[in-house]
Amino acid sequence: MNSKTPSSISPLAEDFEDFFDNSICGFIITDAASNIQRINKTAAEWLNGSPDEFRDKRFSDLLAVGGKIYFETHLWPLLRMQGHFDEVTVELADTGNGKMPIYLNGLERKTDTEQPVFMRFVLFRATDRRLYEQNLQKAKQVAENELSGEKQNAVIREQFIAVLGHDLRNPLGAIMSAAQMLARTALAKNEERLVKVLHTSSKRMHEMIDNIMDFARGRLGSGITINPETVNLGDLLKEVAEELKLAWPERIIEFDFDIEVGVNCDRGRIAQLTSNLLANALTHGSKDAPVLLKAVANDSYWEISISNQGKPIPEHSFANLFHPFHRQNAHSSQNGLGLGLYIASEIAKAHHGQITVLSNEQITSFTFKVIVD
Amino acid sequence: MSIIKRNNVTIRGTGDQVMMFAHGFGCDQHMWRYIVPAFEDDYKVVMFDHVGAGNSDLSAYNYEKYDHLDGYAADIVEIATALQLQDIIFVGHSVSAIIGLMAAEIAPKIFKSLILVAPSPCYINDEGYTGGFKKDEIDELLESLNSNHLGWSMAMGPVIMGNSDRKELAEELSNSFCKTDPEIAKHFARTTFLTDKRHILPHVKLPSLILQCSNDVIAPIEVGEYMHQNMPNSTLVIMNATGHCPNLSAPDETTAAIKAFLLNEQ
Repeated sequence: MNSKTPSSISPLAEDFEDFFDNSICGFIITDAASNIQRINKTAAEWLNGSPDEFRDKRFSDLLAVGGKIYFETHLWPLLRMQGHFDEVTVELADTGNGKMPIYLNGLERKTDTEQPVFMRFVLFRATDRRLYEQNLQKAKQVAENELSGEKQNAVIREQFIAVLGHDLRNPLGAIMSAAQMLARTALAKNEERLVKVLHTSSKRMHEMIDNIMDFARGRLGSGITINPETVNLGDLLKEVAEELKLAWPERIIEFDFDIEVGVNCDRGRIAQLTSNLLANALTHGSKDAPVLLKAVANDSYWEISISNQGKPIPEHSFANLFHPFHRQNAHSSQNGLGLGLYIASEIAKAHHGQITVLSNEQITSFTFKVIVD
Repeated sequence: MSIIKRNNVTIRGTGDQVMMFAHGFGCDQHMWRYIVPAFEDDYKVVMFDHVGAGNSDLSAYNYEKYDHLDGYAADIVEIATALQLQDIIFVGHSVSAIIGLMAAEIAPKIFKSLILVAPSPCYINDEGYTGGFKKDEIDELLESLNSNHLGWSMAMGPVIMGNSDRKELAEELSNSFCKTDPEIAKHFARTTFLTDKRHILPHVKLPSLILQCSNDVIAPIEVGEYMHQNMPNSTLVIMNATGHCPNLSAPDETTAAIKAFLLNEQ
């Protein structure tokens, strides 16, 4: 830049001719039809010429073809309609050394009667900035590609889980029926105990497989479906409790039922939900205190509530309690897969109900409630 | 979904004779704002946004359908059918002029005449034809759209702000006119600038007015002359207006040319 020596050191005496010509950005003034009337030295130098050469050229002729079309079809109409545009990236076509990215701002000046008089454009060099943006775009692209790859992997994993769960069922079914047949024969005391272990363990394994299958189905899109029928809730809950007592014979499950009406729900799913919540209470609750199974059913709502005593649920666990594969204690072998509560909450959702949790030093309770409408 | 909502159709003015205004690439129906007031006392004015532009329903954008101008032409016929419009005086700017010709080919009965503002049937030069651009220039345009080179801030504004509660910021950053989704703009540019519809020109029998600007980078004067030669029932008016948008740069001259043509056609 060949700058005049400033005539005064006072900023107030700034020479505006000099300010216009020798500036850190390009200034261009066009007539209302966007023919260049004045261009400062900075912009002219960027364009490898002197200001006089650009007079009466169309503004868009300065731009590379993308910007030229963009200017004529979008930017110039914008100037006419809203009077300005800001921060648009275009490229100067010919700098004598290839193209140069710039940021362009434009402003239209009008008369009192809304007639356009002239347009002002300010150009900022944006070479480094453009590079930075390109890097950002590239990073975004890479992140998007990786994410979509990971999503595909996740689907494959879940499909694998579904297939594995399904295929484990048949051999397990064979073990269970073998155990049942054995139980019907005359057995020594010792053998009877072993058959019982066979029976309860394979039953528990069967439940785990069911949970896995439900999880995979939920993740793969089909979700948990329910077939509602009118169910006697008290009988159903007692059956579930009896089954669990086989696995936890030394524990006490107390009932507190206030059931006035039959409940419209999926029998098998509500059994599964209750079983998951009960197993959770028996696993994590105090070994010395009973687990309380409460149920209420009337014309306005029905609920199932399972409470245990013992250590409260740690605060940090609360947020993830119903997330799949969440385990309250990573070291406990009793925890299973961590799918029980997740499945229970999915079953609750399918019934348009909700599970709420209360946990303090005295009591931990999970309550599943459905409002009848 | 309703076609009226899909294309953000607006109806103004009084009168039985219908005038339909179609905006071109890079804009929306706002671009007719200086023209429409001159017609709404005598005509029923129908304006719309192409799907993907302005306040159209972006969810209706279909990359297959709008891969060719036929998709846009079908929309125009659908709008006319939905509103039971007949004898339409169609005013199309830029690529929409050609979309209008295509719509008239599908459903000639619904149109009365065609007013083509800065039209071009083919933007790329060919043997014996000046379109205004070399093939590699159009490739460069598409490439610059591809690398999201253009409209960075306009595109990024709303995305960065997302659905945050600071909506006013997003609105401040993006422009209120001629909004474009960058992905759709890119696709529309490809559909528009790679189009070659020269072969349909001789089929158009409707009275047509070609409004050609004096210094239009997008549609040079040779294009207007070519269209006039190839359209049997056409009138060519070369305007003093420069640039690609005479409806914005010279609304009075544009309005006068349209009115003169309509008077002549009566």
